Amino acid sequence: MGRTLQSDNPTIVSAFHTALLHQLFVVFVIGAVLAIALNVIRTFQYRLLAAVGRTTFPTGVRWECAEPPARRILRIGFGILWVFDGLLQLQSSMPLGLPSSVIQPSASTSPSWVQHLVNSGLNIWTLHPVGAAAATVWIQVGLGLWLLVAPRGLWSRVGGLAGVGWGLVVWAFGEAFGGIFAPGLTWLFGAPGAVLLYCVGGLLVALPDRAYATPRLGRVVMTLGGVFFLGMALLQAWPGRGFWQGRLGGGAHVGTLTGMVAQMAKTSQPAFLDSWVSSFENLDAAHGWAVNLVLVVLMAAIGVALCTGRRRVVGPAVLAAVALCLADWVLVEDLGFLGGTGTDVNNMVPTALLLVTGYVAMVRLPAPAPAFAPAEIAAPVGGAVAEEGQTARRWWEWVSPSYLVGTVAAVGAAAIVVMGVAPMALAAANPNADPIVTQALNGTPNVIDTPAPAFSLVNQRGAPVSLSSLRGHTVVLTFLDPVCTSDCPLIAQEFRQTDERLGADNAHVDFVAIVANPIYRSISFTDAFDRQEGLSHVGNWLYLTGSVAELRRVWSSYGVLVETAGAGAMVAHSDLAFVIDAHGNERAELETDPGNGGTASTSSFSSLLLDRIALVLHS
Amino acid sequence: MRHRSGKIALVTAILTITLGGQAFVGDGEAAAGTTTPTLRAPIASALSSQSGSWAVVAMGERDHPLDTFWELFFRAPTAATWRLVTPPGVADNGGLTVSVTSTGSALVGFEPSQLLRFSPAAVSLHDGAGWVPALVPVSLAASPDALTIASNGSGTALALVRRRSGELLTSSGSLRDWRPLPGISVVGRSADMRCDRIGLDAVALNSSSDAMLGTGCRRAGQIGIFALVGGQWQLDGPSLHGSLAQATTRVLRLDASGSTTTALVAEERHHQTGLLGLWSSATGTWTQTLPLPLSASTTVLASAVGASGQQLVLLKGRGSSDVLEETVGPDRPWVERPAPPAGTVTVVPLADGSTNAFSVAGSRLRVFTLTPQGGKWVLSQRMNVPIAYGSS
Repeated sequence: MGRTLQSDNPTIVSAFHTALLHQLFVVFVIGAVLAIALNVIRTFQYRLLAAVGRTTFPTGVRWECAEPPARRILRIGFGILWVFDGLLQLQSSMPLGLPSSVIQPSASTSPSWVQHLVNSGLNIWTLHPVGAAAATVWIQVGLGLWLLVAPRGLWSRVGGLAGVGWGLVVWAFGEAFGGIFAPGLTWLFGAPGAVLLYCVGGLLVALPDRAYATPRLGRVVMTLGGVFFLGMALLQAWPGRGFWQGRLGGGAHVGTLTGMVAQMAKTSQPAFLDSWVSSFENLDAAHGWAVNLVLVVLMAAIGVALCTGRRRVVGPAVLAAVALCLADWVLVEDLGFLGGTGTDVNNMVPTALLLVTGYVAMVRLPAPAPAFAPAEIAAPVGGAVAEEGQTARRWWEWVSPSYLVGTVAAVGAAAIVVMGVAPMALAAANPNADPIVTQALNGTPNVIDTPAPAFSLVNQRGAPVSLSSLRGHTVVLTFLDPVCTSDCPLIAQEFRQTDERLGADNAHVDFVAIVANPIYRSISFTDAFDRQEGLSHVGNWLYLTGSVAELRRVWSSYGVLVETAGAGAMVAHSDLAFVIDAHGNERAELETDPGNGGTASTSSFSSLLLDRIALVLHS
Repeated sequence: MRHRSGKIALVTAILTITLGGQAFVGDGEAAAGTTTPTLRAPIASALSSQSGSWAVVAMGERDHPLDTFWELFFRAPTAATWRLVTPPGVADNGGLTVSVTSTGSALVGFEPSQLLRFSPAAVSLHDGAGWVPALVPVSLAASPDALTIASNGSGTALALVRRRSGELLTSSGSLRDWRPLPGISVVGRSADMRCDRIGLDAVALNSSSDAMLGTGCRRAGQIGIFALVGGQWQLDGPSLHGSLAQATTRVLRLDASGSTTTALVAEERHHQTGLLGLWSSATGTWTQTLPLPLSASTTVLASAVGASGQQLVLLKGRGSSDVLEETVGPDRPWVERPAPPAGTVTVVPLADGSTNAFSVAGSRLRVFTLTPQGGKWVLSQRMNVPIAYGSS
């Protein structure tokens, strides 16, 4: 045992790129279909209009010229962030690197219940790394496009809610709740999690127009922001959390902030940024107490100012907060995505975006709706309900070309999201890993078609069994050491799992293991192994043994190396499996190294073996 | 005014939740009380008899369980050096348990590690020169005396296993077919409350092939050694007197391979732990050493029993270097021997009265000798053991 998958595994990376290309093709198809649909609808609309004597399309509806400025900032800002995050998911290391480099470290200091929850989500990713990584790209790009192309109306608000939904999934399973349950929580390092702030943004986008009609929404956002800043200032000032120290004991120990910045300084980044981050590291190392004092005072002052709700106080506070966000983003968070496997820009950009939005919502209210001729007055989006006092009209009488384009584009973006969500949902429902995991570990199975070497041994009950006696059944053959402590029990479980997944087909398949230990080879040991692995009552499971000479002959004929090392070492043997058809011909040879022995690698081998058995059974 | 007070309440509530949540973040740990000594005997052990000496030695990367390999060494009474005789064919990262007979036979059990859930074993009739596979179908208990074989050549053996809360299996001859020894669940409980037994810690077969069992006793002033006589388990261990009458005890080692039965017992009084060495004569009379007081942080690194019943314990916890203590006889205090060489993991009292210390660095083994008259350790043997790292 011991093979592990590196994040740059070429098999996985290649499959990831292939999946993305296939899905990009689907995106083009979606685009083409929607373009055709758009033209068809417009033609149909033109004909309907012409039938009533009109020769031009409607010019607009009320909402097209009156999106509240705050909402526009929010929608476009978070739209760009989602698209950017989606593009970050394109990194080749994402399928295998995200769990080990991002998710597990972020959950490592959280309580066990958080880790348990995160692991349940992580399991889906590790079982289906390629599908999950590709799906994430399209979900996030789709959400971003959705917000960008749907400026108003129901589709726009639903886009905001979709962002909230996906954001909560990422926040819980990908960011371990932004570390809010872990010790060392600080806004300076990313609390409460960038994606939670995306959720807040999405929620604000989903609010109805009337929420933006008064300064109340802006004041609520400012107050909540102020409370947040005050809380974070208190945590920052709390003694014993390491923020008041720079470098201690001649440099052997560093304070929490210095340590974080030092870690960021080590990531690969442009030289100028490296210089800035290193300079700040030195400053904090030398004057840790003073730096933290400034931060605490600044955060507390911003918090108090935001809570006042007064425009003259809030304006400068927002400006100071944005400046602090930018400084922290550059000097502490190192832009959030540089080095390692970055998945977002971290919390500072969305924090600044929410504060600016809140301020704008407080001070810049939307312009009053202009008066329109009755024929042009809009029904609310979807046309289901008319404005009070207006007559409901048919869609072709009020839908303008720009509204139509926006709606169709939003449908397209939603389709891209669905293209990601659907395989992710299917993956979540499938407890067995994709075959690609084991192929990445062990390579693609050799496809062969040669007569399988004969053998004649005894099974775990002492009855003679030969290959010819199994003729008529597909035989899956492997070599196991009954006193092995690592690989062999895992391989046996993969066989058992494959047998269960075969369903009714297992009546035509025998799973056969041959002892791969010249010393511990008697029936007592095969029987003990069977009981240990729960195989004693599996009807089509045979564990064969024989004399050392007989076993050596079989090992040699199948190219299996068996070596006894001594000095406390396990007997070393090749991890191989063969699929032999009903006529006694070898049809596939697979490596059975179970890798790290996790659920992903074991069930993945089972999936691959199942594929090969199905090919032989149905050929 | 109401608006402002509502806002203040909101601020207070959110701050309370935020800070309160952080205050709750942290580890909670509750100490569990115990009524018997928590000291345990490690797998590192050695045994000397008139037919030779056996030592179980941890080698390799001892900080990493999967790269720790337990090796078995044998030294014949007439030989000047040790031989590596680890039974081949099984990964022994979990540890080895050895039982020897007066005729030189040895039964070795493998403590399961990783995914193995039963204990392969091996028997040697010729001082470890060759091994025949054997099997205990469940996991052996993690004790140096979890396995024992009769000296009378009948092949009778006992195995202490981890099934349920501890169970004793017996095999008569084949060493592959085992059956539970009945009545073990009531030993020292319903039948004899003088001990109020807790746990099963060591097993031995005496010269009459009667089963003996070492346990903990919740009842103060009693040693938990039981003997199976006429199909009935009887309390055989002695009662303690004087200040030791207040002590709860646990048997760490139990050996009956020689002419006397030897036991190493941990005792605890008023949160103070100590060690006692015990011997039983052929007439069944028990004698004991004076207690060896231990500090709370002391652990036993290795233990050994000599051919004439003397006992050695290698201790860690009293100061910077390890301490080697030896029994010298009944009613006598333990004697501290010269500090063992650095890296010592196992010590062996030889039949000629000298002591060997096994010092290990990775795959390199150095054996040091301390003669009865000598005041310092002398290097007597070097060996490189071919450890297959990663093979586990």
